[in-house]
Amino acid sequence: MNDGLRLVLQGVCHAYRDLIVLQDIDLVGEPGEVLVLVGPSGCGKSTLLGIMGGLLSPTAGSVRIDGTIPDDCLNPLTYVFQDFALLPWRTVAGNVALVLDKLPRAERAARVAEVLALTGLTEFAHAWPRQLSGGMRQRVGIARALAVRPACLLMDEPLSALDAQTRDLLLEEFVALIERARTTTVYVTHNLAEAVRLGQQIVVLSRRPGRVREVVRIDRPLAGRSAADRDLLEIEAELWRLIRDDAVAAEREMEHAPH
Amino acid sequence: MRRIDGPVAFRGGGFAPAESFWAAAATLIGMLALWQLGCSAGVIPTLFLPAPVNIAIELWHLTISGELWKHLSASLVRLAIGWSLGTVFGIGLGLAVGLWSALRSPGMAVVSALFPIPKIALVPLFIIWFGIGEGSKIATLGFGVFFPTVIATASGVDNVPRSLIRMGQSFGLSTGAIVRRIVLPGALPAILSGFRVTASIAIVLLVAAEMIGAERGIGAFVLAAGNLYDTDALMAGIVVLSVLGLAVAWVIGLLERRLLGWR
Repeated sequence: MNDGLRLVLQGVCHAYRDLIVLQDIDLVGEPGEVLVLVGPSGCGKSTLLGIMGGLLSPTAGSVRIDGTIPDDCLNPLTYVFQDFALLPWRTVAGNVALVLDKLPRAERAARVAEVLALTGLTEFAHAWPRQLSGGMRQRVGIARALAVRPACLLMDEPLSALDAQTRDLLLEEFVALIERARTTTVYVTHNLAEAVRLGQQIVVLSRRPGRVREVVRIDRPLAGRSAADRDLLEIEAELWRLIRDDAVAAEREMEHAPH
Repeated sequence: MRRIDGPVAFRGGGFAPAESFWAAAATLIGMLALWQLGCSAGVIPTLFLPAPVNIAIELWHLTISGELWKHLSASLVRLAIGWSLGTVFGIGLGLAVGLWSALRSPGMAVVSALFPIPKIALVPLFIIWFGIGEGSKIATLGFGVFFPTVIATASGVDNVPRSLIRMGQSFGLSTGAIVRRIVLPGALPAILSGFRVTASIAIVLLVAAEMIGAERGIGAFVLAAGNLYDTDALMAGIVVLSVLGLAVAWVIGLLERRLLGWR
């Protein structure tokens, strides 16, 4: 039985030597919920995601997960990377199979075929990553993440390297996938339209050192949302109002940083 | 203010040299023809530089008499063993230096201190350590191959994008799996480039080592021919070395096409 995974952050701080990046972050990602992290550049969104995924160690505080996960889950906390992180020397199928080492050969092949079909990549199974467009490469990243049957997806600006059209198309596919799989999802983005399209809990971080500035909840199912919905546009404007001053200040900080 | 009027001139070409097998072949054949012509016309004294035809005839005689194979086989065995030992240990240390902090500084300190030493200068020492036989010759080759391999492998490991390693870690791959599936394949282009360098170094050291106390081997053959002023045989030996270098480069090219087809 899969009840989903709860992600609990308590007093998380992070610093690179003397530079404090994150301070006293308390958050709860409820099972099956999409939690979106937004904030100005350099506020520590990706750092926080890295801490949630165990790729970075917090200087203070803790990250806990609790809940039940499916028996076939190979990697409860699974990342989707901004730059796709595909191995250029492995084919599409090979990239997906890489993370299924623990499975017997036949089951591995079946699972690869299944996720490639789910992401529309079946006919590209033997293609090299260099032969694919950015959107297709990110599909491979998604297929690889889905292959391990994650209980929690950690998505680090997965659409930011793509063109606008591909971004819109993939965003709709994310909605469908998340709705179907019901995995707890943490989604980092600087795109507020993406945030309101996907987020059920949108966490606004302040500029460095990043703190939780505001939590906005949208209690509407993802499937019924559209980019043109009036209430979503209003929330987007509200988010921008929250972020704008910090974004301008962060931008000036970067301009005046020693080169 | 000045007025301009006319078609936009193309200015985007060049800086993309193309390879041509036929241009390469024609150049080599042209050089051989000029060389032969110079010898036949008496412009080039054949005692100092024998004509290509004479070298070819000498090579033919050496081949059918079995003399060439006797020397070549001895050289090939030394080359294979020495190069393989240097490569295996070099890749091992290169990986260790590239992956683990505890070995990085000590390993690079040793490599930086010993790499610049001309390995030929160490041949007498190797003879004292390993004897005049095969041991000293193989040690010379292995030692010469080892250091460039360490450097090529370590820099190859350094150039593997850390995002790929983090990806492996994020999916819970073991350290062994990350090294086998991500680090080694990622470092392979640099390692194979290193092979080109180490193969050439190995051939140079092979000849040098065989010129000291060897009865068989292309180096010994070239030295003996030189002592007898038999320039036809001397040049035949040099041609064999050149062909050996070409063959090794061809094999490495084949490996690159097979293993790096994804590029």
